[in-house]
Order: sequence, then C-alpha cells, then structure tokens
Amino acid sequence: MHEALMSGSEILVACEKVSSEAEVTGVKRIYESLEFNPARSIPSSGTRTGWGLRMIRNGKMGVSGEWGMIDPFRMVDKTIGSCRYGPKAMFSFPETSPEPLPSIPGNFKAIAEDKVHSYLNTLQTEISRIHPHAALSARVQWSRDSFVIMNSCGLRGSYTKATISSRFSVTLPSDSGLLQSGYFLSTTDSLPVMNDVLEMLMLPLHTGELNSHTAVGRKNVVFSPAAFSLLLQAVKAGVSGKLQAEGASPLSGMEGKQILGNQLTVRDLPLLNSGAASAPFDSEGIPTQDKTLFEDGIFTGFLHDLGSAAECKTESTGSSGRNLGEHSKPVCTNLTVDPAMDGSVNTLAETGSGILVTSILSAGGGNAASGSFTLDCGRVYLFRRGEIQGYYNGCILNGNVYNALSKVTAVGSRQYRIGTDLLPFISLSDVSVR
Amino acid sequence: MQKHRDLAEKAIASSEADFAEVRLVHTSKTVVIQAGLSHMNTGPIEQFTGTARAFISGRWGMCEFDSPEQIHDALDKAAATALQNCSVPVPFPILPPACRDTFSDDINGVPLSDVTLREKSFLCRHYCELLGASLPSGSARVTYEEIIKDSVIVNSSGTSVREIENLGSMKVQAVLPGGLMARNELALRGSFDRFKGREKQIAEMGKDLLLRKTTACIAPGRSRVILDPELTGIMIHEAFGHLVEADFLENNPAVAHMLRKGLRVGAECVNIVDDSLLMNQPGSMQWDDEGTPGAKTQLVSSGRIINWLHTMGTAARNDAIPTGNARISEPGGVPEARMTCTYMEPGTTPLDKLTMHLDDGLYLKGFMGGATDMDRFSIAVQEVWKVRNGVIHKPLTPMMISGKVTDVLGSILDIGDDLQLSGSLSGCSRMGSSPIAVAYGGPHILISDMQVS
Repeated sequence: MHEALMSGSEILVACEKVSSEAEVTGVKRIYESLEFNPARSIPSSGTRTGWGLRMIRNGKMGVSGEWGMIDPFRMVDKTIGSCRYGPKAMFSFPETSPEPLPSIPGNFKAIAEDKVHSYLNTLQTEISRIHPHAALSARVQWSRDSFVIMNSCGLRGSYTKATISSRFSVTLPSDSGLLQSGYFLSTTDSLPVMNDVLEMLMLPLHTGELNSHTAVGRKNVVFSPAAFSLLLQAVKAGVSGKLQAEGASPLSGMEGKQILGNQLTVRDLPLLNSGAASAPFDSEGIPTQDKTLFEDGIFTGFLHDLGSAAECKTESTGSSGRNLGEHSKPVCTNLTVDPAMDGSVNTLAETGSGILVTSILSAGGGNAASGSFTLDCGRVYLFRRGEIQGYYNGCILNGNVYNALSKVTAVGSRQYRIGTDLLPFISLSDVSVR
Repeated sequence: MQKHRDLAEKAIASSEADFAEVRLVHTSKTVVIQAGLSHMNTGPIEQFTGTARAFISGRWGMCEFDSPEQIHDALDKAAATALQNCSVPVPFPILPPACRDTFSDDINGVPLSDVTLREKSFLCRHYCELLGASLPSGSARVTYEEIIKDSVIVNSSGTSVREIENLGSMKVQAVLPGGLMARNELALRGSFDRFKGREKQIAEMGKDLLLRKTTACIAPGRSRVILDPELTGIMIHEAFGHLVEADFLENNPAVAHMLRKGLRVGAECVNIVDDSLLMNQPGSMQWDDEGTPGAKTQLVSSGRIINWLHTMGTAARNDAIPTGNARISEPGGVPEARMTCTYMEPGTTPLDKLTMHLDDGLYLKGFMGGATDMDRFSIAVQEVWKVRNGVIHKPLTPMMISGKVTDVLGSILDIGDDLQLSGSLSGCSRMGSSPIAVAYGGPHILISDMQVS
C-alpha cells in the first residue's frame, strides 16, 4: 500500500501546475480462479493494477484512467483533454481523510484451488443426483483487492478486502427442449453455501407437465430472488441522486410518501459484514453509511455522490461509484430487502394460486428511469394451493415497477444472495401477464 | 508493442512446457455522449494486459500479468499452476500453423485512431441536433464508442502474430414523451468515413418515430411475419449461434447429442455461416485469440448442422479442426469458442415479392433488446407494421417475438435477396462474462408462424 501511495503522489505532483484540484484513485487486484466444466478445469492467477485521475481545470471536470503500464504524464495530458469537454465542476474535492479502518476481513489465503475443485465436484454430484443429465459449468475467482485514494486537498485513504465471485450455470436437455439456469453471487468470507446454490440453480429446472393454458390477464406472480433482482434494477436507478438532479426520477418530491407496499423495507448497506460491495468509504473518499431507502414502503431519500449532492443542494451519502477513468455517479452497494418475520420461504403458500417466475430472459422495452418494465420470463410455473402444478413457455409481464411493488401479497422469510444483494422471494398481486 | 513482442518471443523460446503461449493486449477506449445539449466524454482509458498459458502433461495453467517485465515470471507461474492442476488430463490442442505476421487496419483507409476527438465530438453534436430538430418533443442522444486494440500472440509452435483493430460504434437514439423509442447503431472496424454522411438516415429516423406515435395495439398471438435483416441476424446469433459453440456443447454430452452434426434445424433453404474475415465488421479477425487464422465456417447447410465453432482445445477433444473462433472476453480469461460475424445467407426473392407472399401479417423491423434461454429466444422489436393484401398498411405498438429456434427456422417460407450486416462492440455476452464485439445479419425472411406478444 505504501508503494501505491507513492505512485499516486507522483501523479498528483504531475497535476500541480495544470489544475486547480486533482484526485487520484488506485486499484490493485491479486486473484486466483478456477474455470470448471465436465470437459476440463483450468486454474489461473493474476495481478491487475489501475489508476484513475480526476482533475478540475478552468472550472471543468476531466477524467482518465490506465490499467497496466502507467505513465503519469500521459494520464495528465489525457485528463487535460477531457477537461475541455467535461461537465462544469460543481464542487471541491473533500479535505478530510476518512477514519483509518481495519481492513475488511476475508479469507483469501484460506482458499486453495483443490478446495474449490472439490466444492465444484460435490456440487456437480448433487446436481446429477437430481437431474442425471444436467451438467454444471462454473467460474470461481477469489481475490484480494486494495484501494487507495488521495487528492490535492489533503485527503488520503486506503483499504483492502477479499472477494469471492462465483458464476454457475447448469444445462439440462428435456423432452420440451433445452433448459438452462444460471446463478451469480459474490461473497467475502467463504465459498457460497452449497444448499443455497443448489436451490437457486434447480429452481428454474422443474420439469413436470406442460400446461396447455396460458395465464393471460392480471395475476398473482411470485418472483424468485433472482427475478426480483431484475425488477429492482429500476428502483436502483430511481433512487440515484443523479436522476433526481436531472429531474428524471419518478421519486422526485416523494420523500416521506408511501411508494411500495408496507411489507417492504429496502436498504443499501455498504457496511454489511459479508457484503462483497462493502467499503469503508466511497470512490470519492466520503465515508459510507448504511441507509434505509424505503422504510415499510415509505421512500426516505436519494443516494448522492458529491456531484449530485451539489446539484440538489444536499450532502453526499457516500454513494459514489465509478470505474477507473469514468465520471462518478451515485450507486447502490449491497441492496437488501428485509425478509418477513414468519411465513414460508417461497411465499407460494401465502399466495395460494398464480405463477412463479424463476428467471427473466430479457428486459426489452422497459425504461429504468420511469420504472416501466416489459419482462420476458421464458418458462414460468403455475401453482395452485401453494403447489406447483405445471409450466408453460413464453410469458411476458409488463407494468410499472413502483405500481407493482405497491401490491405486495407476501415477502419470503429468508434472504438469498444475488450478486452482491440479499433478497427474499416476493409475491405481487394484480400483475399484467400476456 | 513490437518491443514487447520481441520479449515474449525470447521468453517463449526458453519455456519447457509441452506448449506455451503469451498473449499481450493494449486497448484504448473512448466514449463520447451527446444528450440534448449536454456533452460528456471519457477516455481514452488505456489498458495493458498479458496472459501466459502453459500446457503440461494434459493440463493447463494460466497467469495474468500487467507489465511486459513480468512475462518470464508469468510463464513460470503458468507452468507451475499446470503441474499442480488436479483435473482430468485433456488431449494436446491442435496448434495453428507457424506464422510470423502483422495485420493493421491502416489498409482499410484512415483508421479511427487518426481522427481527432474534436471531430468525433462535433459529429455527435451535429447528429444529435439534427435528430432533436426533427422531434417536436422528446429527447435525442448520440453515443460514440471507440476501442483501439493492439494484440500480440506468441506461442511455442512458431506463431507470432500481431493485429491492430480500430473498432467504432455510433448509437443514435430518440425517445418521445411516453417512452416510444427509436434507435439505430452503426458499428464498424477500420475507417471513420462510414460514420459520416448519415444526415438523411437520421432525419428519416425522427420522421418514422413520429409516424409511429399514433399506433394501434393487437392482441398477442401467432402471426405470419417478415423479419428485417437485423432481426434475422439477432435471432440467428442469439438462438442458434450460441448452441453450436463447441465449448458449451462439450460441457453436456446429452445436449451435444441433441445438436449433433447432420441434425435438421431448419427449412431446406436455410444456410448459416460464421465468417471472421469480413474485415470491416466488428468481430472480424485475421487471427483468433489463440493465433489460429480467421475463416469462413459453414454452420448450417440446407437446413442441417454441418459444423460447430471450435478453439484449438475443443477441436482436439471433438476430433475436429479449429475454426478460428477462440475469443477472450476478459483479460486473463480462458479462450472460448465464440461467434464472430454470423449471418444467414441470402436467397433470391426481392423484398416486394416477400411482402406480396406474406399477404396478411406483420412486418417487423429493428432490435430493442433480447436474450436467449438455450434454444428459446425472446426479442423486443422496435417497429411493428401491419401488412394487408401484400401492402404495408399501418404501424402497431412495439411487441416482443419469442419461440424455439428450430421451430422458427423450420417455418421459414422464403428468404430475401438483400443480405445486410449489423454489429455492436459489446454485442455478445455469455454466462455473465464481459461482452465482445460481434456482427450478425441476414436477409429479410418470411416466417409462417411466429409468437408475438
């Protein structure tokens, strides 16, 4: 880390005479990975280093980034070029360094390739036990990531964390064609809980009877955590202070109002203990804070970075996110929806009858900003009296996400990890199905 | 890069692995966005990555590095990883022929990299103003994206190739209040000139969008349809192309059997190819990411599968020859068998005759989004036009088409004579990996029975 601070300082020095303010961010990832499928397994390792530079020059903001071979002077030149066309700088870089926090723990060294290989072999065996012709392919990467930030106003900060990213996919030939399920999640402390992975991968692979009737009209729909995650994309966009600043968020002026069903409490938790997106400070060096976005369905406020906060005349919530070389924007980190205190896990019993959506093929025709959605769910399952009765192919849901999430029948009683989020099953009534 | 290539050649010469390979890639990415009066640009973001691979006693090991000084160490680490690899051994890969060569887009005219950022920004603003002016309300947005990629592949069987790619894309998008949208993307490889002179096309795009503002709905159901070349290409890419990528197929022998060579997947008139040598298209390549020369591969002939897409590893495991389709989606990644420029070959029927043949049905144009679930596909269509008595009659609300690819390819009644290719710099992602540049296309096609919703 000391070496990183030195390199960052060199870039800042190179900016001194050509900018009024400058900020440098650095990332270093050291990883190992295993690519697994029945035909072959390939272990790999690697190192990746990158630097990002933001600069205010003539009142405008410019950015640049480099991965691999870094040339500080080339970066400065490119950032000057970017300033010419950049947005007006509405704020100054912060002066106060974030509190030095102990590194977020992780077990990078405790994981070895043979352990991952054995985990995946066991998973394949369990999958074969359920569907003898199903085959697993997966990629697991475990890494140690170091971050550093410094700016010309005196801010300095750094931290290190461990992340385990896992991508699983299962293919299954069936009488009605080919089936596939996928599951992606990130953790920090250990390999994913195998039973959860198995449950998420098997959920879209029910075979059963093809139902000749299609469910068209307004129906009860249960979303699996993976499907719910896609539905929440529009909410993630809607709570962005950038959209508020542009006057494009449907949540503008709605603070304190009931937007979602009162069973829903939605939080952004950048300090979550096992959250892969956790960080002690955001990409501008502002300390992060856990934030409730919807309390019992009532909207509590937007996420802001320094830019959107300045435009909306408020404070940053420590929610800046960006890739190196790109402009900052407010982002969610570990998004969670509180599970119900009691009831079933998958909400089928509480819902009675309806359709279960386990995956979403595409979201064409939707608008993340307004919340409108058109989701092709591929294969969906019909259930009655809480029991799956059959399936049919080709089901499209449409509507507005805020309207849909205001009609909650039930929330599942446990959370599953989807990407970096923690989400339960959710049952919604009166959803348009065609 | 030439100096790094020399370093890699020296390092490879001293490797004791059964097979060793070094891949060096330098990319420079720039994005310009003009949204109404707001202008934003990022980049160029430069990235250098290297990957060493070693094959020892039937097992692979890999190591990613980010500085040319680390080539030797990375090769040693890849060899050590291969020795520790505890998986089942695989056959020795089928290596590309020895070759030392360089290919650059300079031969296609003035490359993108020689055009100033100022000129690119000006063109985006110009098109955005033009589109905005054609709309009484709503918003216009133009996004220009550029990737300059310089890659070197050196291996222990005598391959040392370098390819410089200039990839560019310009997306033009208009949205009316209420969400009705039109978008158009031109993606190319090589010269910037093709981005110029699109004023007429952009003005027509705005006019068409306004025409579609007052549309009627139709109930979901099954219909006779004509797909435009872009939709034909997307369907071929998403719902068929991914199924003949050999590394996907070899994961599951039961699935591989379902898609075996000789299997009928479409009508007699259906012929599908993957051609990586269309050098002005995104996805094209003189050599793939393992150094195998690019090629034109016939995938379907007279409605039957005749080839899969291969890397040198999948070819060895499946008793085939590499087709030059090994592609890396992210630095340090394993080469995967992926599509390049995939299209359906044209027939002989002009569009007006296809429309007459359609009689009553729908004419579907433009792609808004889509995905595949194995052999099922789902595509959001931008423009839906009612055709009555062989004449394009009136616009309808945008819809989605879906189905099982073999059913759809089997119900093609006629194929147009107008092959057109489209593409995207981030057009293809598989199993959540980073997207890669691809091109896709075909002619207009007439389908007897398609689910529209």
